[in-house]
Amino acid sequence: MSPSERDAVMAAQTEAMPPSAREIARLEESFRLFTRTTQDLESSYKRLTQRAARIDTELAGANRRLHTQVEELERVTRNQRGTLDALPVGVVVMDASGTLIDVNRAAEHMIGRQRDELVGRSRAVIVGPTGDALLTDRDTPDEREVVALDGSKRRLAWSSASLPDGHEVQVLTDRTVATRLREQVSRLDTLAALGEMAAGVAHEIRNPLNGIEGFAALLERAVSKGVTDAGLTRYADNIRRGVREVNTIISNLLTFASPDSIRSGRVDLSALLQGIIDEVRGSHATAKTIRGHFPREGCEDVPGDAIKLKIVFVNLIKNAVEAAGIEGHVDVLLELSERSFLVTVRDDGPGLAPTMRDKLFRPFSTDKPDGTGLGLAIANKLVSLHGGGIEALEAAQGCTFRVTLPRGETPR
Amino acid sequence: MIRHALIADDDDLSREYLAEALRASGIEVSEAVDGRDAQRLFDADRHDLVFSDLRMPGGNGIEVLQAVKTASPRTPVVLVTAYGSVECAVQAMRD
Repeated sequence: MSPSERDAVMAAQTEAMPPSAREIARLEESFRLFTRTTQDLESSYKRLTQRAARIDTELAGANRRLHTQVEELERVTRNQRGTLDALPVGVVVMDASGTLIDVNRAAEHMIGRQRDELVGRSRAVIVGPTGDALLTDRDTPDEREVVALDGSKRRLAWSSASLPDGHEVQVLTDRTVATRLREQVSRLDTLAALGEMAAGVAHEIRNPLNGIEGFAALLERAVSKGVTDAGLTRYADNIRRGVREVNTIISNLLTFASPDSIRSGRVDLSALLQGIIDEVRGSHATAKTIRGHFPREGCEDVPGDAIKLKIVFVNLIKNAVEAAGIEGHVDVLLELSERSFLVTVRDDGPGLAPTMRDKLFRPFSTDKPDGTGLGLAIANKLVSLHGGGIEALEAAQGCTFRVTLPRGETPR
Repeated sequence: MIRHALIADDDDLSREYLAEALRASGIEVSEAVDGRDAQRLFDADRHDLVFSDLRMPGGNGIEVLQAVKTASPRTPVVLVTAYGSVECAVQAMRD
């Protein structure tokens, strides 16, 4: 029954009863309504209270979980910080625009500023007092000497990596000490080589000087005895020969010690080698045969210094001819490979002494009776200046040297 | 009495000067350009005196000295070197 139907029924009943009874009935009806409404309210309140209690419990659980997560996050952050700061390499994190987000302790030290003075600034303004960029803007590894923000001179190396979120991590390595040690070792090596070379020079020059002094003494004694025969001329000739020997040694030494540069040009390698072969055939105590094997074309325009390359091949070919002896054979082979010109000089002489192999290209190393030990050292240096290499190949018989000269542009 | 001397030296001028000086004193001289050559000549002729360069190709002066002393202990051997000091000469032989 809807409220309006109920009211209509009540009105009909009320009209049928006497007034007092009608009022009582109305009162009773009102009381029943009040009681029902109160019961409804009570049950609604109970439901609300239960719901509030349930929400309270859920909230407390959520709070606990949140708290645990915050603690975990703090722990991870602390650990990450500790790990980053314990690293011996510098780590700098930047956002996509190059603004510093994080800097570890090693990076602070290398850049020369505390973290809070760096974070939030752009990579572009992290520059030392003399204008050195202290972070790299290259994708590829970079290494430079810099003056850091605290004024210290350092040699730093950078490498960088992009993170998936667009951030960039740069790793800085301090190479200052390693570089200094390497330089010291290199200096010691140079000094040792210099000492070895000085001993070699002394030995090579003292030999003819000894002869010069000896023949001068013989000359002096003969003259004081009044000797005037042809022997005197021979003494003087020997003195001059000794002086020429000393001069040759000094010239070779100067070639060896000349500044590290070559004159760029184009060289016809076949013609150069053929010319040397002809000269050696004509002037040297020669081998039985000296043969040149050259390609028809492709070697007329080799980048290089003609004079210096001639010195290289004269040395190699003369060595081969001397090693081969008068009954021996020498072959000079010129070949083209994809990247290089290859010159092979081969003799069928006795081959290299095993003790010579390791020091072939060191100055003053020789097993020739009249060698100064500078020829191969000079050849090696001149070939290196051309960007090439020289090596002694293993051979069943005799000795084979191969010179490799790069094709492509003239080295400087 | 020294009649016949052997000189071993790979440096021509030094060897020839010493030979010249000895010949001027009336001594017959044999010349060798390396250690092996020197040992061969000494085995053949048993010289009264030997001069040897310390550092030569084909057998150094020490090897010549040992060979001569083994074959003929009383023969004097003079070792000659163009190296500045004993240490330098010893190092040169080691190299």
